[in-house]
Amino acid sequence: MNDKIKTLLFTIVVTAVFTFLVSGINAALKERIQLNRTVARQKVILSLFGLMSADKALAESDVPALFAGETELVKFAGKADFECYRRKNATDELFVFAFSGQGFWDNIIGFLAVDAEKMQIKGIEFTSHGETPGLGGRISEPEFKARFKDKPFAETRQDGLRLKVVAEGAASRSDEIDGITGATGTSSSIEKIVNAALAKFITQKQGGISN
Amino acid sequence: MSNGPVKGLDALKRMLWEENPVIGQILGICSALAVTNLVKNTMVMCLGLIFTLIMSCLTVSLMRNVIPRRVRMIIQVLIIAAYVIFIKIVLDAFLPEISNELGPYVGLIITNCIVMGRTEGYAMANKPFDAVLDGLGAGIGYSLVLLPIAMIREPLGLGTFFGVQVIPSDWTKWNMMVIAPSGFFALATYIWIVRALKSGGEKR
Repeated sequence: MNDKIKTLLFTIVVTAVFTFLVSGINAALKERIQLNRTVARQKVILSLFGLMSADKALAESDVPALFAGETELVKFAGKADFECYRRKNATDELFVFAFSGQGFWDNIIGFLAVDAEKMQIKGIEFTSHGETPGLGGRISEPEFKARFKDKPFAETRQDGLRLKVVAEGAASRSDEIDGITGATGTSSSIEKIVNAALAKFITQKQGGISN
Repeated sequence: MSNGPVKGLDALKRMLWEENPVIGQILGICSALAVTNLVKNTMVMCLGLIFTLIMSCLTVSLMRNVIPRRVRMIIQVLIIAAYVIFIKIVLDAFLPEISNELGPYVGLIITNCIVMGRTEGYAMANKPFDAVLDGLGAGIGYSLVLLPIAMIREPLGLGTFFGVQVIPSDWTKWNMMVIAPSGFFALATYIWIVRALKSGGEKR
């Protein structure tokens, strides 16, 4: 009996010590980890506004200041949960907004940049996805993202879509985007997600901006 | 314990070749398949495993005389988990991009049989100095298998090495090489070659 109590006490003490150590490290680095996540998101938004690129490299520590100085959150009259940014004192109609949806495997999350005056897509970035590396995973390659550039979304096609993702190399109209061969599942998920995101943006925009 | 008499540098050396954890004992296979499509990620994973092994073996060895036998496995897992969570937090804080790419695999070092095997099989019965060398050996042995596999998979699958383009872009990438199945082929081929070399050496 005595032996059992000793074993129990030993286990409790060891557990407490290691839990204490791990929580200590977590507490010490928590803010840094949080900052990393925020900076990673801000970088994506800034690059979609063209404020950051390979030749306009920026130190990690300068990102939050630039972000706060150059961009602002857009508030829409409609009270939907919709994260959307524009440049401060902007004269153009460039908006960057968040989207997410079910991909082939995992959720695909990212940001779209659109010109609301010309009704064209200006850029797309994926911040998180779980598509198959080498197949659907190619959505995060610059070559694929460039396929969205300047695509018009003002009109709805006969099939109800604003933009259609077609077989790779088959895009012949301005409202068609080349998909990825070998990743039909990812391609059609992207089609759904992008169309839903654009529809949401248009609805919000029509509701009016309140700031 | 059967491996009691192996001490010092011999404990380290045998892990590199004779008793290599991956080739000889076929342990740590799941991470060997999952992270070896990029050399950089593989390197971080190997360093993480080496750190976990050294620290866990040291801690377990230091505590070996006070750990009650009945709960020794639970205590070992607890120690290993603490170090692995430490690595995960440090990676999140200082190398967020790599941490993101490695995803769950850093956390899965906890269940990596190599670590458990070394703490239970060696550190529980040996002095701290020997236990550290044994852990270091097992970590290097693991890296000696993973790094070559990554060095083959990344260039063939993505045309890059350590993220730098090494194969001209008109080369048709073998997409197969970056997804998990090719890990099986690459690992199996590697083990086959090494085993053939080993048995060849014994015959002569």
